[in-house]
Amino acid sequence: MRNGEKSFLQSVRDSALYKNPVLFEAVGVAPVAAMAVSLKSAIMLAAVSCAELVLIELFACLALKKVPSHFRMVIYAALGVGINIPFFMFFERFTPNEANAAGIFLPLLAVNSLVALHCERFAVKNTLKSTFTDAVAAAAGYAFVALIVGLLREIFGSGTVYSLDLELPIQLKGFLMPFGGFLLLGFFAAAVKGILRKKSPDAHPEQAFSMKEISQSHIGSLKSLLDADFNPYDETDAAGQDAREKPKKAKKATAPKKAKRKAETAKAAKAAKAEAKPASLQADAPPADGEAAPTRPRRVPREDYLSDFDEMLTELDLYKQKQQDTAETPAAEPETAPAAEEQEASDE
Amino acid sequence: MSILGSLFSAAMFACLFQNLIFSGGYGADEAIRMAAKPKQLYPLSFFIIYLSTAVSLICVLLEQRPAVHALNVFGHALIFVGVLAAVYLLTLLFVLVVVKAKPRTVRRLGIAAFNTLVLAVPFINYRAAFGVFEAIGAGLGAGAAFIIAVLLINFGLRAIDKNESIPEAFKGTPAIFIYTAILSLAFTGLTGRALGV
Repeated sequence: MRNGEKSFLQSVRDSALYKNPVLFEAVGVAPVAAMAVSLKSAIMLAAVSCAELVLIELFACLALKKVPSHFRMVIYAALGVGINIPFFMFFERFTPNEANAAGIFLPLLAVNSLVALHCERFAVKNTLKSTFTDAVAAAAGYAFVALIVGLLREIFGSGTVYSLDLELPIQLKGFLMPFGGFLLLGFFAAAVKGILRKKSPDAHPEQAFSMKEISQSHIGSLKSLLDADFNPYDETDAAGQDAREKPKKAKKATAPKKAKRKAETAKAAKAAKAEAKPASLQADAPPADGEAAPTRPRRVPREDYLSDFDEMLTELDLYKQKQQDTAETPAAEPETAPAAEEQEASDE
Repeated sequence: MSILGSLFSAAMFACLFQNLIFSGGYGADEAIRMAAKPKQLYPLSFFIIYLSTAVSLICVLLEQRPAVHALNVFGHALIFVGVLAAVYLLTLLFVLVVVKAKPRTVRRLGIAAFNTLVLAVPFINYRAAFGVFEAIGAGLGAGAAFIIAVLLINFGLRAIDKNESIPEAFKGTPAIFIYTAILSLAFTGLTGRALGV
């Protein structure tokens, strides 16, 4: 029994932390961001959400397995309103100010996506015991986040804790607005994730929110406008720009050289083929006349290619010069030429 | 002219000046989750526009009855959820029998119907005492607000997905929430509220 209890508590804790519905699945975010502006409103939110989640999930597991999914959605909403009404009456009687401050969000909890998602994903497919574990874990995780966010927003935004004045010199009213809620949720999620990753490095809570389909387009025409070249950081654009601009300059600088050497290139290539060339020259040589041209543009930046080509031509000139020199020198001297070549090759 | 004016002003109110998702927080989870699945945006948005407009209009017409108008917040919640369920079931019937839609489309209809955004519109109409044409404008504006929100969040998600320099702890939902907070802050600026220190 103890082992059973331990495993139940452990699974609840793990699910509440590693698969937290708000922090890592982005489910039920709206009520937390908009309604949880104080500890009292967070308690209301947590109580209603937990009750809804556990009761509706259990009901879905017991009675709704054979009902088609499109009808189940209506039943979840109807049950949500039914569960909300007694809570609302209780809050209106005992905490009327908070019930008023919650505004329309309290009745809107009837259609909280947290309930529908957990019911559809888990309750209608599993046993009562595992459904109960899932419901308690999700409810605990949701309540934990709502309470922490509500407490922090009350401290920062109103300078109070449970309506007790902390006499803080500054109150940041922005935290009481939805953007403050989103901001706190973001930093809170990062903090929890950091702690969890430190505890168990293999854990990847971010996988709970699937981004697999993010690269898909909204629609064909929009895709061509926005998706194909969408690159908000201009990282490759900047690199591409440089790569496009530099070759222009390089082209200008190398144009006279190119014109002079254009005729020599073909000769040099033939000479290089006919005679034994250093290995490095062969590697960098451009494709010969008969070779098939590459079908795709090369990924090597053009500037590097041109400078390599210039170097190669210079070396070919030197090589030709040496060959001519060796032909003219007396028979005793040839030993020095290969030595120089070897030296060059090693320099290469 | 005044009809068009009230319709247009209510639509602009719900869509821009009081963007229901960023300034109000309604339907934020659906918008964030839908932003990660851009292919589903247009069918879902169509259903949201249709449902929010239809429910808004029917609820405003019911509000004209004194007995309904006198109800408290939860009485209104019951009426609004009832209207939403009725509109959903009628649409479902049409989609299943006449259109013979695929199960995927039917699922989308369910997600579009039962979320905080669609149910928030009649409540806003009730609180702001909107008339018939303003209610239609609010319904259309809510749908437009959803599309704007999903597109904006989607662009951010793509950037976040590509950005390798985000710290490990902030990858995934933390970065998405912070990005949504910045968007929400921008739209809060359009409401004209002052954030006094």
